[in-house]
Amino acid sequence: MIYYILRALFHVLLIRPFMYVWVGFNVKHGGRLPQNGPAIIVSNHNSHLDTLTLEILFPLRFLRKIRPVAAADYFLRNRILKWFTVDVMRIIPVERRGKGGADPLAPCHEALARGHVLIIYPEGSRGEPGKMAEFKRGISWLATQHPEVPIYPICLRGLEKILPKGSWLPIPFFCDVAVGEPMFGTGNREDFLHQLEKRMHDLAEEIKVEHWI
Amino acid sequence: MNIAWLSYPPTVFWTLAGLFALLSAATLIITLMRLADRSRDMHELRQRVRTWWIMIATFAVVLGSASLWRPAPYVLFGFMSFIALKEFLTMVPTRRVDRPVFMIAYLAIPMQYVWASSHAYHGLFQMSLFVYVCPLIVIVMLINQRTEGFVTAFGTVLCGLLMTVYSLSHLAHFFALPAAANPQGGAAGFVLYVIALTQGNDVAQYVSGKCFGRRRIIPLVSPNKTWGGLIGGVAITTIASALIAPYLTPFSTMGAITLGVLIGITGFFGDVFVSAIKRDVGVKDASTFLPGHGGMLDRVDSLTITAPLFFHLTYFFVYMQGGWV
Repeated sequence: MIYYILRALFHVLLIRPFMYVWVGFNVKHGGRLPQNGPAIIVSNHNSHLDTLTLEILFPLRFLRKIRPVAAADYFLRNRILKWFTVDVMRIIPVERRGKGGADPLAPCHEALARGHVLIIYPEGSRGEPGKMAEFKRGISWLATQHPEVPIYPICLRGLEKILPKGSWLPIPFFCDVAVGEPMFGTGNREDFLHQLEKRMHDLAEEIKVEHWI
Repeated sequence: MNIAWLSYPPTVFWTLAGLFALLSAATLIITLMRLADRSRDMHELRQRVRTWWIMIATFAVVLGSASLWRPAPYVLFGFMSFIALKEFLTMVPTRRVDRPVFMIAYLAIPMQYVWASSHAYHGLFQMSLFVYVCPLIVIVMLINQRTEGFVTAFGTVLCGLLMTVYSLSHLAHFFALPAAANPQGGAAGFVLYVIALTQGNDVAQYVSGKCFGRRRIIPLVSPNKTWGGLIGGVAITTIASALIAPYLTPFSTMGAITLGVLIGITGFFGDVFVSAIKRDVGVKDASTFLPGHGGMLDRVDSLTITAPLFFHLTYFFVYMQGGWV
């Protein structure tokens, strides 16, 4: 509870004013967003601001259900970072390279069972600015094991201009968010991943932004 | 005239009341039209009018608070500049290496509005963007050492600053000039006059274009602009100017008519100016900041030219000729 309050305060005092005033974004098809958990949000990843942007698309009371799935090796580097990411941001740390044996996605299954909304970046890391990398397969495993959970592709554009990888000062630009129709996992993992990638590229076409020249 | 903590010169109060009456009429008509024919899609129009309510209410509150909290108009116009500059820099092509340059451009906004807040800084207000900010931008760009696209990049930032920061800050600067020069309406009177006429001119040109528009005037930039729209709009704006000038400003009838024509014509070019930029970069609206209208830049497009022009004419003919400055 105390961490939920901390997170809500962090949002109201810092993140929302920052995102609404300093950054600013245009949302396309905002009405498609899920009203309830469990759900999985799949998005492209170019900036540390991506997670904050996805979080503020939802009302504050929804906050406690939102769980970004993030790389354990990067976000659990030290104790302060771990406290912030795990306790305040409530990330679900997963091992990028499976250590064999246990299912690395086990905490995700548990969170979905509790009606949470997962945020997953299937590209794996922030990668090349503005370019979409090939999707990793973790999401297709989740999809097939939870065929009843809706999966929402959300495309983010322009955030890599505001806070690119390797930069610390966010420069104001408007960014674009396009929410896609929900998809459901099928038996065929390859096929699902293919469809998801295609859906994401279609969304990206809808919100073409001016890129660096 | 006072409502709660808001205080207005009476003429300003009644002009604002008139605007609210017009808005109420628009809302009423739209509601009736919707009741009469439910199948019609009026979403965009309703959103547009709702945003007008919010914009005019904000503007009214800020005009009324200026006497109690002096920074109010500078904060409002500064915020408008910020949003418009952000829209501009988002839609035009930029280079990653210029990120520090954009930061300087954003920081120029508080600087410009601090200068705008006192008549003692009038000189700085007029020239510091060109004498201090531009060279600083050049120096940072030289340190970055990237010459490909150098001229375009510099021109882009300068265009953005001129269009969104320099031009709109003139509206705020009225509040720093001696109010006694305009015994009827004070600073609020001048600002309300130019904004109401400019925005009204946009609406008048649009409506008049819908009614009498046939011959296109500038088809390669803005295919919806017609001679009928321009002439009808300028006529309506000129009449409106002659009607409201005696209440809000000290201008003579001749002066009011001249200003009405000028605001009508230059407002048209401001509008087309922003259309040309949008067409160049291939976007429809600058953002979705003002639902139903597009972005801030789409709303203040005409003001980017009318505001500084009106300021300088007023500064010369009212403040200087009248011996107020």
